[in-house]
Amino acid sequence: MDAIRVKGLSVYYRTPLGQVKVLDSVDATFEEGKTVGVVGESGSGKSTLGFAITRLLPPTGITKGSIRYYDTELLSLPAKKMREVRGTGIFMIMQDPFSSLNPVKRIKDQLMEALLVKYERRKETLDPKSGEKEILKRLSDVKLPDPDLVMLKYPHQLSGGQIQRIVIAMGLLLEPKVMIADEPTSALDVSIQAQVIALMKELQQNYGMTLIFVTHDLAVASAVSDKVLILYAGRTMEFGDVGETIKQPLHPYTQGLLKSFPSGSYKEGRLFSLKGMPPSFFDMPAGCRFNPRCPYAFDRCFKEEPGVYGVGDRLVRCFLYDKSNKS
Amino acid sequence: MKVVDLIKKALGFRGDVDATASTTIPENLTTWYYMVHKKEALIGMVIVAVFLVWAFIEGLMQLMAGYLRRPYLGWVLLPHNPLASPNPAISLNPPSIKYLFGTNLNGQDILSRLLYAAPKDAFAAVVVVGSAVLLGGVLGVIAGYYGGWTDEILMRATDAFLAFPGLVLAIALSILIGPGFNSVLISLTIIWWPIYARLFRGQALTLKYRGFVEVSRLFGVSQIKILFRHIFMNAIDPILAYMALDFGTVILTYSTLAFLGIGIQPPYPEWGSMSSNGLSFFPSAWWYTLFPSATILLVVIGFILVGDSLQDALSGRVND
Amino acid sequence: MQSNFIFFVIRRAFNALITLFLLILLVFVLIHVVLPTPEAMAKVYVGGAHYTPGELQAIISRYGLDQPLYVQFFNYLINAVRGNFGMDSLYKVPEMQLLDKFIPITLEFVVIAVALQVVIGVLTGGLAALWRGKAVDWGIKVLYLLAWAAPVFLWATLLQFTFAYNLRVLPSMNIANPLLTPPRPITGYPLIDAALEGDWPYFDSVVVHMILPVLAIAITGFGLTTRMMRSSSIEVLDKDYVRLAYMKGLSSGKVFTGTIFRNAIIPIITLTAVQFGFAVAGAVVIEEIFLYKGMGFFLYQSVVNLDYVAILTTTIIIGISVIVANFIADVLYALIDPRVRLE
Repeated sequence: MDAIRVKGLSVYYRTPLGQVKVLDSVDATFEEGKTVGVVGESGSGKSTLGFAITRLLPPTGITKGSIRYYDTELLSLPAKKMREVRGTGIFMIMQDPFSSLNPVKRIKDQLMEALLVKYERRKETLDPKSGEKEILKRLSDVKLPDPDLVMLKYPHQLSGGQIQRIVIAMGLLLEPKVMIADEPTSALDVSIQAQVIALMKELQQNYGMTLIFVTHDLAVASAVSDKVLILYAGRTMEFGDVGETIKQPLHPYTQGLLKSFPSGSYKEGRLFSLKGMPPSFFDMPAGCRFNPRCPYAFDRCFKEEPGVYGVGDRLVRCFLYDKSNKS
Repeated sequence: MKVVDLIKKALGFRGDVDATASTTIPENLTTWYYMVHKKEALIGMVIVAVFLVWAFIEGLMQLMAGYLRRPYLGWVLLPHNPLASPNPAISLNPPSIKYLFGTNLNGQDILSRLLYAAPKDAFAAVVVVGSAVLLGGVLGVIAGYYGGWTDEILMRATDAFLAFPGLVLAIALSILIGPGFNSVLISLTIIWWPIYARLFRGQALTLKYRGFVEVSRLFGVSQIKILFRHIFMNAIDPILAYMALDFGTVILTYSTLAFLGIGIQPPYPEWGSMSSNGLSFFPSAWWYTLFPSATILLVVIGFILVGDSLQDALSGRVND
Repeated sequence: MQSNFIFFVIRRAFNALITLFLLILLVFVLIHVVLPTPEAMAKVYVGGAHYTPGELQAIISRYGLDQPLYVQFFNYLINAVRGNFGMDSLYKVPEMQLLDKFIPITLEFVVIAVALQVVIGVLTGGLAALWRGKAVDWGIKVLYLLAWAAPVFLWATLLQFTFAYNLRVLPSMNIANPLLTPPRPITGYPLIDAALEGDWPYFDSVVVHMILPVLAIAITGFGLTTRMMRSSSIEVLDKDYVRLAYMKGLSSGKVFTGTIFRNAIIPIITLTAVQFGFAVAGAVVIEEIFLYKGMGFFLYQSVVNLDYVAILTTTIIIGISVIVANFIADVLYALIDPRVRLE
C-alpha cells in the first residue's frame, strides 16, 4: 500500500523576476512503513517537495499535478480537511532547528498543543497530568537528557540538537502515519548528526511510520532508506531500491554523487567529483538539465530532454538507458 | 536578449531558489531594477523628482530675483504674482481656467503661491536631513568605531534627545533662538541628528570588523580615510531608505510649526499655513484648503513611497 | 527566573533615571548655548517686557544667573527634583501649580488615543499582512498613507468642521460642557474624578468632548503602527515555527493567536512608546484646535506669550512622560519576550 503517491507534481514560485518552476512533473511513490531518501543538491527542489506534500508552501508557491495520501487527493482538499491531515497524518521536521520553535512559548506548552491535537481528533479528553507524563516519555524516547528541566525552558535556551530532538518528539506525540524529515541534521554538529540519524531510523522501525528523509547526502540516505529518489534541478533523475542504487548507480549524476562518498570530504551540497553548479531556474539548459556537467553527454542530450526509462524495478531519466537509442 | 533577461543573468540566479530562499533576492543590482519596476516606487520617484526639480528651478529664480533686485523674476515662471497686494474683487474665486486652483481671501492665485512656496519646503527638507546626516554620521561613526567612553557619552546624549518628541523640542528651541526661517532650520537640525547618530553607529559597529576595514588598517591607511571612505560611505546605503522617509517627515513638521506661527512669516506663502488658513472657509471655498493640503499629502506620500520601496529593495524583502 | 526579571526591571529603571538626568542637563545646556550671557537669560525671565539695566541686574542676582554654570545647574536640578521649576513669568505662580491641572487632562486623552491607534494599527497591519498583495492590502495602504502624510492639524480641523460645525453631532471644543460643574479634583483626571464622584452627566460630557481630539490623534498616528505590524507579521508568517504550528494540525485561528500574533506584536510595544511621544507632541496642535485645555494648549499659549519658563518646564515634563512610557514599554517587552527577560 502506498502512503503517498505523487504524480506529475510541478511547483512554481512567483518572483519579481517572473515565475520559476522549482519542481517539474515529479512522480514518486512512498510505500507505507518504508523509508525513502530524497537526495539532491541545494536548489534541487527537495525541500519544496516536503512543503508541497504538506501544502505549506510560501504564499508565492503554485502547485500542479496530484498528491495522493492513501485514498485522499491532497491538492484539491478543502483547507479544513487538509488541516486534519497535518499532524496526525503527515508531519514534517524542518531544516533549521533554531527557527522551528515558537520563541515566546515554553517547550512544554508547545508539545502540549501537539498532544491536544491528537486527543481531540480521537475525541478523547486529556488531563494535564497524564499529558505531561506522555510528553516526558516521548522526550526520553528521543534520548533528550533532563527532559523535566528542558520542558520548562524556552527555545532560545536550548541547543540545535536539543531542539531537533524535541521536534522529533513532537512528531512522536502526534503519531503521524507519514513523517517528512527535511535535512534534520544539516544544522547540527557532526557528532550529533549521527545520533539523530540513528534515532530517526530506530524510531521509524519502532513506530512503523512512513518516513521521507530529505538530504543532500547520499551516504546518509543510504543508511536510513529503503529507496532513494534523486532530484536534480526540479526533475527526478533516478528512483529505485537503495541497495541496487548504491551497488550500481544508473544516472551519471548519481554516479557523481556516489563517487564523492564515503570520503565525506564535502560540505553542504558541494560535491567534489561533480564539476560546476546546478543550473539556475531562470536559465535552464536545453535538452537534459544535467548536460553541462555530464561526462557522457552526447548530441541528443543537448537537443531533447530524456524521458524516464525503466531498468528492472528502477527508473532513470537518461538517454543512456533508452533502448531505442541508436547512437 | 531582452533587458529583463540580461538582469536575470547578471543576478546570477543559481539554484538557490528553494522553499525558503524563494522570497529573497541577491542585493546590489536588484535595487535599481526593483525601484523602476515596482509601480509604487516609480510613482513615488516621479512625485519626488518633479517636486525637487521644480523647487530647484524656482529656487534659483527667487535667488536671482533677490540678487538682481528684480522681484518679478521670482514669479516670472508662475501664472500670477503670488504676493500680489490684496484685491477684494477677485477674493475667493473658485477654480477656473484663469485661476486653476482658485484664489484665496486676498485674491491671490493659490497655484502660484503653492509653486512659490515649494523651494522653501524642499530647502528645509534637504538642509535639515542633510546636516543631520552629516552631523549624526560623523558622531555616530566615531562612536561606533572607537567605542569606549566616546561611545557611551554619545549614546546617552542621544537617549536624552530622543526622549523628547521632536515637535515639542523644536517649538521650544525656535522660540529661544528667535523668529524666522533660519531658526526653524537650526532647531530642526538640532533635534534631527541623534537618530542618524544611532543609525550610523549601528552600521559602524558591524562594518569595523569587515575584511576591507581591517586590511586598510593593516596597511596603515589614515584613520580619517578609513572612517570616511570605508565606514561612512558603506554605512549610508541602508540609511538611504530612512532618509527618503525623513524628507517627508521634515516637511510635515515644518508645516506644523508654520501652522503654530513659528518660522516663515506672512506674506510669504507656506503650504502648512495656507491649508490651515483655508480651513476657516471650508467647505464653501473648499479649494482654499484642499489644494495646499493635497500638495502636502502628495509630496509626503511621494517620499514615503520611495523610502518604503527602497527599504524593501535594500533589505531584499522584495515579495511583500 | 523571577529574580532575572526583577533585575531587568531595576536595570531599566536605573537607565531611565540616567536619561532623565541627561534630559534636564540637555535642556539646561541648550538654554545656555542659545542664551550665553546672564543678561540674555535675564531678558528671558522678564518675558519680553521693557526693563532698565538696574532691573536686569536685580533679576540676575535674584536668580543667581551670574554664578558658575555648574552651580546654576546643580540648583536647577535640586529644584527640579523637588518639583520646583521656578515661577511662571506670566502668571506669577509656581510653574508646577499650573501644570498640575493640565498634565492629567492631556495624559488622559492621549493615552486613550494611543490605545485606539494601536488597536487600529494592529488590526489593519495584521489584515494587510494576511492578504498581502491583495485588494485589502492596497486599500489599507492607501488609507494609512493618506492619514500619515497629512500634517496633524489637517485631520483635526477637518474632523472639527465636519462633525462639529456642519453635522453638529459632536462638540467643537472644551473638555466638557462649560455649563456643568466639574467634580472635585481628586486625581485630576476628569474621567476618573467624574466616575469617583458618580457624576455621570459630567462623565458623559467628557467622553463626548474627547471623541474628536482622540480621533484626530489616532488617525494621524495609526499608519506607523500599521506599517510595523504588517512588516513584522509578514516576517513572522515566513518563519519555520509558524509552519511547524500548522504542521501540528492546529487551526488557523489557534496558529494566529498563539504563534503569529504573539510574535508579531513584539516590535509594536516599543513602537507604541515612540508613538506616545508623537501623540503628546501632536496634542500641542490638537488641543489648540479643540481648545482642549491641557498641557499642549498651555504650551501653545506660552509660545504665543513668549513665556520661557513655562515652555521649558512643559518641555521637560513632556520628556519625562516619554521616558516613563519607554520604561513601561521595556517592562512589557520583557514580559512578552522571554529572550529579553532571560538574558
